[in-house]
Amino acid sequence: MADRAAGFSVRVSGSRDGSATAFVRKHRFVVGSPVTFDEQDPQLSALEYVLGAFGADLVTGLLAAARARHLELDHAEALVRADLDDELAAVGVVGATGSPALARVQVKVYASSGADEAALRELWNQTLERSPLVRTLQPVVRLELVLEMSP
Amino acid sequence: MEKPIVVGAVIYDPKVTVIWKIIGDFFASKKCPIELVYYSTYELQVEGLAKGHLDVAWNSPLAWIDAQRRLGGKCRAIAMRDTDRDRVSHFVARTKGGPAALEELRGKTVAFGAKDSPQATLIPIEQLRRAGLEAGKHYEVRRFDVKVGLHGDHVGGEKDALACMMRGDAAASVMLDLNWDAWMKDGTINGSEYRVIGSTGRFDHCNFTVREDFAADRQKHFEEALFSMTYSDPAHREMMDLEGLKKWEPGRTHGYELLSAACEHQRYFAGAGAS
Repeated sequence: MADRAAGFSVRVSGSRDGSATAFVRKHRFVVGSPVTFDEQDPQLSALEYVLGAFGADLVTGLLAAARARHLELDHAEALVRADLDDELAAVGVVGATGSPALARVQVKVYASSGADEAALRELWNQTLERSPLVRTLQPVVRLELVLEMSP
Repeated sequence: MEKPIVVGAVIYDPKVTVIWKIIGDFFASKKCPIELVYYSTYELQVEGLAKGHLDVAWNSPLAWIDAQRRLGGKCRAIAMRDTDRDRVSHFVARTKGGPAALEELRGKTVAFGAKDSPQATLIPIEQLRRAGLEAGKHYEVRRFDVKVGLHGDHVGGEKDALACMMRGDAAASVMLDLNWDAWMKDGTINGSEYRVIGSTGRFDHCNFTVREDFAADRQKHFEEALFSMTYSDPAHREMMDLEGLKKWEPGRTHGYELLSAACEHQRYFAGAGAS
């Protein structure tokens, strides 16, 4: 295996159409505007990528933790909802008094497992503790992170 | 590249920027680039126009009156939607047991929209005044100040006023004719239970306002692009449906007489009434 440089590196290249392409290792993905309010927008916004990544962080973290403990976890799915402090500030409205920052992120992870609930809750807590995104956002955004279990 | 015409618009929801972006793209396709500046209130937008930050402002009727006031009349209404012309507001009451005419509102409570709503507060109060009913003297005003600063663009005030009347807390409520039509259609109002007991005189609604010193050639360019929108063209129809019109019309100003009188009699810009 080739040596990996310390830290993480992503190259992002902007296009004339207003989008940007992120190049990561041998992968790439296209990002549209910073935030979009258009249901028909053909591209994903930077904010949507962040929220998708946040949900994925928790789902894949939980799945990986379950695998490592040899606990049965059939399915895990996250529903992510978020609010900005002031949406109008995000589109540059003159007179908007708030901030375009995320004010709240709510993630509900639905896990389907025959495993003992206490054991799964322990894995969930471990997932939250080890998540770079949770630990980064926790001090600055109101996070509501919930694990819902079903057999 | 031609210098873009700077156009101001007031928005209360970021989704409204999607409509304006479509309009912006349309103007760009007509080789008349526009730059959009969004405001949270009409007061700020009129200030932007008065200070020359904007070339064109999409103004509510009250913002038009305010622009005239601030600019000493040195502004023009250059275009409006067909649906901005000849609007009326209705006084709505319960059919059974409610008042049957405006005169019967004497001694009763009337529910209005936001204090800065031309259609749901200012003009209806003026209409009642002309019918011999003074607010606070001959009837009680129950106002619903939802999203003040948006001049009634947000229908929340009218909806709250309607709910107030439906609860029996007011004898009548006021709404724009277009809202009466829409709420009858979607079932918000049951036509067998409620009726229109009177209406205001006709008035005009929004317009594109420019300062007197806006260059004639740039205004012509803007108007040519705007008036080239046609409802029969499917490419334009969606945009026109979103903006609620079938045709752009030249601006006119005689339709603001009722609102102008309302502002004067209610001393709207003199004190507490101003947003």
